[in-house]
Order: sequence, then structure tokens, then C-alpha cells
Amino acid sequence: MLKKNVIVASLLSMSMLLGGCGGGDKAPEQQAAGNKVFRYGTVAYSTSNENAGLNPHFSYHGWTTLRYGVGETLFRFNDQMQPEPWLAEKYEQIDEKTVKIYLKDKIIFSNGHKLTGAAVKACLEDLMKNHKRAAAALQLEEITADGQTVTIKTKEKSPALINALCDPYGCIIDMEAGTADNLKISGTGPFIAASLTPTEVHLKKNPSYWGGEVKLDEVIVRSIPDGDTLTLALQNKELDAAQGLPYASLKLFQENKDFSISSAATSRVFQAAMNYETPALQDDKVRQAVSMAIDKNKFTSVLLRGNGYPAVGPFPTFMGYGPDKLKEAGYDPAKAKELLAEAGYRDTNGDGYVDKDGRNLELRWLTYTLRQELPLLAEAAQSYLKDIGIKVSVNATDSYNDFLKKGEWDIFAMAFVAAPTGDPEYYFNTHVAPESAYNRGHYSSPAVTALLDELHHEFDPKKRRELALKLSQQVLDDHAIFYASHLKMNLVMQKNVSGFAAHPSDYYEINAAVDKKE
Amino acid sequence: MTRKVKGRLLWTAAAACLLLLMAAAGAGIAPHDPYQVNLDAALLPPGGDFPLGTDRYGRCVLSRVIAGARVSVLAALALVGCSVVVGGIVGMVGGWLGGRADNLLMRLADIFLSFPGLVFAIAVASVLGGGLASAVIALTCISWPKYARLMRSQVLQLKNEPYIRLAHFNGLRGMRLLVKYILPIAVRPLLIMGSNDLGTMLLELAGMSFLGLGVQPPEAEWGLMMAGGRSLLQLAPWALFAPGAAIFITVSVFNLLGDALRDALAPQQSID
Repeated sequence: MLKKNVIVASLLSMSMLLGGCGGGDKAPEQQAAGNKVFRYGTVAYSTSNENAGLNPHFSYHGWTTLRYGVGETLFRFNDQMQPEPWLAEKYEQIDEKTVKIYLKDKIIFSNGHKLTGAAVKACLEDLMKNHKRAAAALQLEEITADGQTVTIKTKEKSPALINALCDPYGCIIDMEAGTADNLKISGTGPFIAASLTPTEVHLKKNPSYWGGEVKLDEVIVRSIPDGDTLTLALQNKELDAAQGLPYASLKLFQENKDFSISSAATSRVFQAAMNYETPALQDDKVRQAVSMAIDKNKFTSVLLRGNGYPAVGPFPTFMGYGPDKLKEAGYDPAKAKELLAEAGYRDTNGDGYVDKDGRNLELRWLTYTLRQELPLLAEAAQSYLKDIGIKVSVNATDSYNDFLKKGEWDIFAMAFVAAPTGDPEYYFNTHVAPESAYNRGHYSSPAVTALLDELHHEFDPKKRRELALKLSQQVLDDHAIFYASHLKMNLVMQKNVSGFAAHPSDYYEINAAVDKKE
Repeated sequence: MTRKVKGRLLWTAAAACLLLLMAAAGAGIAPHDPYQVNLDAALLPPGGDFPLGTDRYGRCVLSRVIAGARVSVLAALALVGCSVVVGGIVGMVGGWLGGRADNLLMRLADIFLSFPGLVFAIAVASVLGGGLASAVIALTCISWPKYARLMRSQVLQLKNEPYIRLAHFNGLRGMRLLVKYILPIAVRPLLIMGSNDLGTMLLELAGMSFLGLGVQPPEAEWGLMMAGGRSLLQLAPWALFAPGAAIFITVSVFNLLGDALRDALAPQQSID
């Protein structure tokens, strides 16, 4: 009897095990024969990224809408991050506060409704009502629709309005379909959501897409937050393409003929803000010493394995006001040591760390682990700063907000998309304007405030670039923020995938042209 | 004690001593500075100047494994020590006093035992914040109850032995009786259990560091080294295998020592 039970039990557990293993393969069985299915693994889609949904008027869900081809914006960025018409045909600047946008005529939403001025007005009005960040950036006062045109009037002068409309929250969706149900959200993109969970988005092709034939039949976007799992899944051909692979893994694909890689420089910057509340860091010489002690060339070439660019200032070179046009002292540990000595820090007790008034110079480096570059930067910085005699304790925690609030930090390293709208004003407004949201170090400079005011009222793109350069240079001269590197974004795909390319904005991934040879 | 048992005890003890010596010497006997970052020498394969290669910061893996022995082994010893002391005291008090005090202490132990071990430890460590000390405290929280139970059962058993009654009859009371006549006998199985647990504890500590809840970078610790080398598995396996092998060898040595100790001290429990 006992023996029989054991056999039954082991059979049962085995069938459960096998059933469990089979779970992952279910999807292919359900697909009709001959369907082209594109499997895409990404670290960027998740609840913690606040984008697990398709309603562009809520949090960062618009990134998902735009990235995976469900929605489209009125204008889109080209490779130099300049806005170009997309759903719009063209625009006309009527006066400093008014823009008239002409819409393309042939566009229909995935539910069959036509894209009209009235539809755009309804969508933007809902956006203003529900999305604080958008409302603050766009400052819309009045929207009027007339046939295939919308006229937008802003509360203040808004030189970067067209840029701001490229933000993922600007995806135009049909408000008649509503935003309550993710699967009913109706955009103008090449794909329609068939199912959506916090870990997976399943998309089907939009048969009546306005932009031409959609090459893929289905797309499965899978959230795989662990870089090593993602690497193995791609190597194992469980995925057609992957985004966010660890830098260490990229070499495996670079050397393999079965894969190809599409890369793009982005404006995501890895930066470290100095805390002006820390007495030691109130001395400009100490801040300068810190920024001169870290070798960012080595950091990008060795630790990021060439998948990043050394940064000088917040913006990358391709935007036209990047590292090539800015000046900073650069890596010079000998000079950094001199500066510390000038500031009164010397190693008097021979413990390898400089001290003043009997106390070692110790700094708390706060950062988080969600971005793989940050812990690497922290550990490298710790070692570099040790070389000039500064003792650094690293706190890499994803509850960094608690430490920021309590003020228990001296240097805070973070990643930030410096120009999500291709315009410099946003970065300075959020990071260096006194009391702004991300100005964690309480940096305040009258020169910066004056320049920002000037930037806010300047419409000429060339002059805006010049002002951005002046602002960047001022922040560098004050050594308020140390800029380590810019992200190079990589999409790795199987050789048979075509039309899939990385974009500097990090907004556009799946589109109608993406194809896969069977 | 048979010759076989003696021999086994001898060589496992020798191996354990060697490990402890290495732990005590730490970075002193390492060929390089285990914390010296040299990005020009990052990810060099084993050989030449670096017998076990270098990690992604260009630090010597062999030196880090040696330096890591101190943290890993000494922390495991501290952890076992804390668990034996805390569990031993609780068990002794409960077993000796009996009645309500015993009930209270044992229910407390039950409460701690009713949580899934590592999950509870992770929760405690997260509340305390990272660091070696909080990892040791967290793991002590989950491991003291079994020592308490063992100690209690020993004390209960010994309390009724004729020689204890005789001592009591002769006027020996309280602490003196407990410390002089019960503790030396009762503590033996705890020591055996402790030495057997040393390997497990080392693994659990390494696990906590691997999860980022134990030792913080750049400290050389085996679990943390493995966590750092994880994404390099296919490119630079030495960065992962060296600390892994160190954990494997150390855990094996301590487990064998535990077995040999049991055979020597309590031969009736031996399985062979």
C-alpha cells in the first residue's frame, strides 16, 4: 500500500514539474501557423519603472505606449533630437504664446475613428487634467480645434512647446475609447495591445495602420529585470531581441556572428551631485578635488566596457552643446591633492587619509542599484578618492530617497535623461534652479538663476544652445555636479531581425518596419 | 576513541586550523593589496602576476579570496558563538527554572522558529540596514532557538541525575551547581552542533552578502565577490569560481570537522 502511494505521489509531482516547465512554451502553441512573432526581452518595462500600462496620461505609462508601437505623438525626434512632424503635417508659430498645428489627413485610430483636430483637443485636455508633469511642462491655456487643425495657446511664452509634445505623455489616443481599460486604449500606432500584465505586453498588428504595411504579426514584450537571465534567454534564442543587457555580456554578442547590435548615444547622464549642506563640500577646492580625482575615461572604457561616453556637462555631443564645447580641468590626481592641501587637508597621522582639525575627510557616497552603472561608478570613485586621501563610504540602496530626505549623504550619484524633449531648459529647471525637484545638494548660484531666466524667454534655437552652454559651464565652474558619463544604448538582436534600431531619445523601439526572416 | 576516529579528527582539525590561520593573517599573506583598483589590469585571466586572475576593477582575485577568509570565517565563528551563547543561556534558564519561565522562553523560541528562516533573516537585515554586524544579528535571530531547545533538554535530563541530586543534598545550590556540574556536560552537544553548523552559517552569511544585505563593497568577502562576478560568468569565470571554491572547501572542512568531533565526543550518535 505504502509503495503504491509513493509511486502515485512521485508520478503526481513529476507531472506537476513537467507542467511547470511547459508553461513557458505555451505561447507558440497558441499562435496560428505562419504568424511572425517577435519576442522582445527588456529591463525597462516594470511596475518599478512606473510604466506597466498603456494610458499615456498616467505616470510613465506613455513610454510603453510609444516604445512598443501602440501610440504616436504629434512630432517625433530625429537622430539629432530635433522635433519633426509625425501625426502632424506641419506647425505654424502664430505668436510667442500660440502655435497652430496642421494634422495629417489620412490617419485613423486603431478603433477606426479618424484623427481630427477635435480628437487631439480632447486628448490633450484629458492629459492636462490628469498628468501633473505634463500640465507643468506644457502650460496650456486654451486649445481650439477646427477640422484638421488644432491651435494651442500657452499661459506663458513657451519656446519648447513642440519639443514637449514629443514626450511619451503626448501620445495621441482616442478619448472616445477612454483610458480606463489598457486593452481598449486606442492609439494610431502599428500595434494593438492584446493582453497586458505587469510583466508582459502582448501586441497584435494593426491591420489598418496609416503608415503602411506592418511586417510583424505579433510582438511579445517580456519584462526580464535580471541582466544575466536576459543574456541567457537571448543566447538560447528564446528572444529575438533584448534591451538593457549588462555591459559585461555585450562582448559575447559582439563576437558572435548570429547576433547584431544597434547602438545609439543617449542623453541619459550619470552624475554625482555635491551636497552644499556638508561643511567640507562647501569649500570649492574640495569639490574641485573630488571632480578631478575620478578618471571618467577609464570608467567608461574599462568598467562600462566602451558602452558609454565620458561626460562633461549634462548633454551629449550629438545635441550640439556637449563635451566638445565645454571646459573642465579633467583627471589630475596630483592637482587634486594640491587643492586638498590648499584647503587645509593634510595626512598628519599617516593613516593614508587627509585630515583637518584632527578629523579625517570622509564622504558618504549615496547611490542606487537599479542602473547597473551606478554601483560600478561608486566603487571606482571610492578607490579613486582614496588615492587622493578621501575616505568614501558607499551606500548603494534602492531606498535612497529616505537617505536624501534625512540628509544622510554627501555625494549623490544618479542617472537622469537630461534632454527628454531635446531641449536644455528642462534639465536646468529641475537640477540646478534653487529649490527645484532634483537639486538635492541645495546648489544655488545667482549666475545660474539669471541665465535660466534668459533661457526661459529665448525663442531662437541657436541662442538657446549658447545659453545651455553657458549654464553647463557655470555648473562645471562651481563644481556643483560631477558628470561621469553618458549612456550608450544597445539593442541586441538575432541576425534575422531587421528594421530594429536604437534611438538617442530611448522612446522609439517597435515600429511597422521591424521584421524577422523565418 | 578508535584510531580511525582519532586520525580523522586530527587531519580535519589541522585543515580547520590552517583556514583559521589564513583568516587571522588575512591580507598580510596576500600577494597584492586586495583593495588596490587598477583598471588597466581588469579581468586578466589567471597566470603570471595574478595566479587567480583579476576582477573587473583589476584587483587580484587570489588576494581578495585570502583577505575574504578573515571576514567570512571569522563572521561565521562569531555567528555560531552568538547563537550558542544566546541559545545556551535561554535553554539553561528555561530548563533549570521550569514552570512558567520555561513555558514563556520556549514559546518565544517557537515564535522565532515558525518563520521561514532566511526570509526572516532578510527582513531583519533590511530593517537594520546593510553591514556585516546586522547580517550576524539577523542570522543569530533565526539560529538561536535550536540551541536553546538542545540545551534545555540537556539540563532537564541532567537535573534528575543521581550525582546532581547528591550535590544538591550536600548543600550545593543555584548558580554554582549549574555552572560547575551541569554546564560542562550539557554544553558538549551544543559544541558538536555548533561545529557542524559552522559550514551552513558561512553559506548563509555568504548568501546574505550575495543579496546585498551583508558585507558592503569594496570589502573582500566571498559571497559579495560571487555577486560581483555573477554577470562575468561567461567572460571571466575565475572571478566567480575562485570565491565559490573557497566557500566549498571551507564548508567541507568545517562539516568534516563537525562529524569527527561528534564521533570523538559522542560516539553513541555516530552513524557508522
